[in-house]
Amino acid sequence: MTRRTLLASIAASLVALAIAGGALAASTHGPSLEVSVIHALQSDGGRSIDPALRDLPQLTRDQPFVRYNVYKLLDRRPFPLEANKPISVTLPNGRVLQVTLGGVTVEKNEKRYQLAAQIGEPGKAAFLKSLQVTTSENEPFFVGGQSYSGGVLFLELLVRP
Amino acid sequence: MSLSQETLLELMALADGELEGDDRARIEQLVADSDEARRTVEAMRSPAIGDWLREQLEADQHAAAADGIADAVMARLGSVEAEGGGVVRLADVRARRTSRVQVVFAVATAGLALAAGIVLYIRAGHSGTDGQAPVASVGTPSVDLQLPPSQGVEVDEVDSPSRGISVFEIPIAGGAAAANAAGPSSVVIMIEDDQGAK
Repeated sequence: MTRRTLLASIAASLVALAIAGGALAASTHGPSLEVSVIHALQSDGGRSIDPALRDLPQLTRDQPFVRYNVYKLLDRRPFPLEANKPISVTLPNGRVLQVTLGGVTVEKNEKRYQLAAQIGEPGKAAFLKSLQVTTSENEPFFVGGQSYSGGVLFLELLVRP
Repeated sequence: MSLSQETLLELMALADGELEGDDRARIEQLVADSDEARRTVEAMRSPAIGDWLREQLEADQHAAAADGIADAVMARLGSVEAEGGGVVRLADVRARRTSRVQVVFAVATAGLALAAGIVLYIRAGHSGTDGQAPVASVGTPSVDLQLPPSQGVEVDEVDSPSRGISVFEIPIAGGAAAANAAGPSSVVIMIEDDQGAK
């Protein structure tokens, strides 16, 4: 075997490993938590909802969303959701959201995720000391009320399968 | 010997009685004028020397023919070299080898990618149904579709000392909700912030 043939074989093996690794990662990926940070304002300039906030238009007819008419998505990121591994998200106001998956159960053929959340700020009392929620996949819930830039923040949390 | 090879052949032909016409007259004249030619013909006509000399001349003919082939080959080589085709350029050989390796490598990579794609496609198709039968299928319009009631979001505990807390449950309108009275709902936990806007 020549050196060039050997190099070609090694390169082909690496490509095969990369492809196999990608397939393995794609086939074993678990659920994720999608965290969206939304800024809500009451404005005299009229109603405006960020197009990226696909679920909000139908929600803004009810309390508490009806209090505001301008919604803007500030950040949206998915995080791998693994049991007992906290997810930390730094918010625009300096506080930190921490979410931990406590466990997953199956009820009536539906996966139910037990989530624990806290919102804190270094050196200060916790804004949200403890929140325990049980939710299903693709069913969002919101934590709102933090003051920010003339309005409030809404945090949308959504478990993706 | 001062006689040329061609003359020797002609003398041999004369000795064998193979010459005719002007050639025969010319060579007979040579034999008459040249002692060397005459002795040569006499020797050729003697059985012992004639056979030996005939073999030598035939061998010379073969050698001459071989020389001709060699000359032709050398001439051909010269022309090929002049065209540059006879020179083996290592860079060209390497390039050909490299391109061949690249082709093999590309084919192998494409094959692997195709195989991985097929595996992923099959896996994606399998995980898409999650091993369950479809809820409904085309051709069965009388099926009364009943989506399983979603269990929604349940707030088990909220703790935010010295802050007002409100929990809102908002039914989500839409097809699924309309088909099911206990349709999905979204939950909003509102916590009063006493820090003012930042």
